[in-house]
Amino acid sequence: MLKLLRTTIRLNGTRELVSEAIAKNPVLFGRGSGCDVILSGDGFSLNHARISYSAAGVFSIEDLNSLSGVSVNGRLVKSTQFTHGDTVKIGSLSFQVGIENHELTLASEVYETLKTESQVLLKEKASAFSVAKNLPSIRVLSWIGIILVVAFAGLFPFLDVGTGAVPTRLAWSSGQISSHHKGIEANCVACHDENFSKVSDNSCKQCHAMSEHGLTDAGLEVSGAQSNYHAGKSPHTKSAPHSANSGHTCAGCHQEHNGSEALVPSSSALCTSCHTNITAEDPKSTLLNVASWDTHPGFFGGKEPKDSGNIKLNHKVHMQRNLRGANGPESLTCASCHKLKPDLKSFLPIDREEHCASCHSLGFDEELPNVEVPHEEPDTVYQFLFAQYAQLQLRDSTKTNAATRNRPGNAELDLKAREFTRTAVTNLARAAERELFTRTACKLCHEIAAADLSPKPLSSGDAADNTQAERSLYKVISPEIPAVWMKKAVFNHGAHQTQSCESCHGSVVKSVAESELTADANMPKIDGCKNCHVTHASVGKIVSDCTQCHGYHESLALPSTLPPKAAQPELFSMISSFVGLK
Amino acid sequence: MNGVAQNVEHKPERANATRLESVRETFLFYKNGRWFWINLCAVLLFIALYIAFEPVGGNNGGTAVGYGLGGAATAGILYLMWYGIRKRSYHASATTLQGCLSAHVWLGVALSIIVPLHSAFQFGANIHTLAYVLMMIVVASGVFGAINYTNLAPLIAAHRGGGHTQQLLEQMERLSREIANLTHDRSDSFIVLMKRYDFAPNPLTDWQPGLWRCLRRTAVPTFSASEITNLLANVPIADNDAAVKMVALIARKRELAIRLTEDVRLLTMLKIWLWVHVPVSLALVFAVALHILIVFIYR
Repeated sequence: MLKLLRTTIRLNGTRELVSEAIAKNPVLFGRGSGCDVILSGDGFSLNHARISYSAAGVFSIEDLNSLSGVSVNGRLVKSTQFTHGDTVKIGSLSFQVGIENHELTLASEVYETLKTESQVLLKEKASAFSVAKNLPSIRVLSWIGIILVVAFAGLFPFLDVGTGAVPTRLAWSSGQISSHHKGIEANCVACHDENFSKVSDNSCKQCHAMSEHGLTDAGLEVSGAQSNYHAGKSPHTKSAPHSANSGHTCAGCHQEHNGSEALVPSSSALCTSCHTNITAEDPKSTLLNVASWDTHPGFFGGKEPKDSGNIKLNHKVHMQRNLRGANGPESLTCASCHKLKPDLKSFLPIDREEHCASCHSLGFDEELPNVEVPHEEPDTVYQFLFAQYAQLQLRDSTKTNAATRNRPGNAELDLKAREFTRTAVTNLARAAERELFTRTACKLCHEIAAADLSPKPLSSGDAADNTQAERSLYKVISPEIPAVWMKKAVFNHGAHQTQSCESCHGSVVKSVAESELTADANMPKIDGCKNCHVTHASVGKIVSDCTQCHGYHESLALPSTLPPKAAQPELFSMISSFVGLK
Repeated sequence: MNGVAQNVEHKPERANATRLESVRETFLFYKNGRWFWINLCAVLLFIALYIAFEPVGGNNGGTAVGYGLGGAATAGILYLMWYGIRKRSYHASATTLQGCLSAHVWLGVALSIIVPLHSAFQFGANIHTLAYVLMMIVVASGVFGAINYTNLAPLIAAHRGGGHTQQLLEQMERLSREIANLTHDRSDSFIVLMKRYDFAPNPLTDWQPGLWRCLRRTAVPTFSASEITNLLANVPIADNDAAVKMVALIARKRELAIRLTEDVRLLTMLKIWLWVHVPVSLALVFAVALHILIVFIYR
């Protein structure tokens, strides 16, 4: 007798017991409909196992070659006996064995399987842990990000277009504005004429026409026109790449929105990009190629420059110690004559009155010991001499006695005497003139030539009929002292004041103190510069680029010659126009 | 009960772990770190170019090198975006997905150096820097993801091993029914003990650990042993065996819950960076496009 007890544990925890008695021996277990105990589910074989018992009360189980086997107390078995308290497992179904009075009881517990709703609940619960269920979708977040970026970068800057009230357009600014333009940083249209426009040259000239960029060589403003640099007067404009029509713009070189350094580029590459092979840029150029500072040609094309000035100066004589000065022995230094301009960059011109007059007198007659001719044009000098001797003659004539004094009515005698006196004065004046211009004061420093005594044109201001008599027989060749030797560079003497003059000028060819010729320019050589100035950082050296000496824009350079003394012709012109002369 | 307990006691399958280990190693150092070295060489080359090239006016994004680096960075970003398409191209055979991922990771890291070189380290409150900031967010989130993947993948293998979230929940639910089954005809003190200790009487409806509590590892409450012992002492002798069995069942359920929440935490760490990485990278593409457009308008 076999008793089958099936306990079903419901989902709510309640138990449901079903009892079934099977009075057969043996009892067949399996899925098959012919089995005594039908086990539903694909975990069982059609004929899975067979339990039989003997009259002696011995129970045994036999595996009928099932798929999932039979085990007793956890051990897989083919055929074995079992007893009270054992656990018999057929497939996945466990039975607790109870034997009482030769009656076998197989008790099993089955959990109620989840219903469909519960399965759904389980899946939902499991999926609730996923990231996707707890966060907005990536797609939505992506759209939000895109919209935010477009709004901030594409639309937000438009808020102040046209009003400039809030500089939201700075969101488009490509970088830090230079300190020079910081004041107009928020005012984009100060440089960008219109919305979405690049910077035009006209925008730059709105402010910079008054600056050095808009100056001509004469220092005059070119109002509203191209600057000197762009007008073709600069050497850089001779070559097509730098001309105004070449497409190069102010902003092309002066890059804004890159901090202060980029606004005024100073890199040597700016120059060497063309000057390494300058004829490729400008076939007519006579400049020497410069690839780098190390290979920079010597000054003056590597040749020794000669002073072409028409003034005679012997440095050796002047540099002697204890010269006979006006107030006793005197020793000159360089700075005695060469004085820096207030800008400390170049020197003031040599001035005779300041530098020469104390020793070099323009006296002409021992009888007139304190009288000197003016340091003016030869005609003025001669007229001064004539006036001085005429005054001397007049003074002497007043010393004659009453018998020889001219009386009224003695006109003929008076004329003859006057003529005699004039001739005497003229002779004295000419003699003194000759002495000055051929032997002493003038001749000492100046080149002298015979004057052209042809009548001057009326416009010169002198009457044609008395020209010859009142004019000098000599003329002074214009000195033409070079004011700037290195016309393509700016040398800042003030920045080199820690150096002695001789360290650069002293030992070029010969010492300045040994120089006897005017032609000795004693200009330094580039090797001296290279002792201190280098292109790459080095201890004790000064890193320098081209712009240390050279200006890119012509207007930055010093004037090549001293400006003429314009006051005199202008004064003469004013007087002429006042008296009606043309 | 024993049978249930045995079902959830998983040990990492060695073969699986080894396979994951090799995947983890090769995605960063695919083919002896081919993409690592290629990107390293590219970065060094760009740095050398940046140092050697001295443009007029100083380095900036508008010089020849600046344009070169900017172009390279733009191409790089487009390539990185293409990975989103490539990883869905299941039939692509010209390249391996693992190789593409390796290139994706190292190129992204390289860009975080190349882009500052492009801009010559100029940053400001503008959309150009915004593009860089977005890119760095994308790179940082990607690095976070890569680090998580390399560190957490073996742990995932150890934790899962077939114990999926749903199965763990199902097992917890079955334990809950066993516990409920024990409560028939039990004393009130037995019920007090159960209510105090059982943190999830029905895991499917009562238990709400939440993703963030899983991440913080606070989803499963902790109990002091003394408190449970005191409650157990109050239970009548007749219910004692059942109470001990119930405590053991609840302890088992806690283990399952901790395993489940730890799985959730690890899986979340593996995925959550994508919620930053993908949306910000798409926004980045628009920011870069606007950056290029504006730069060339005003150039």
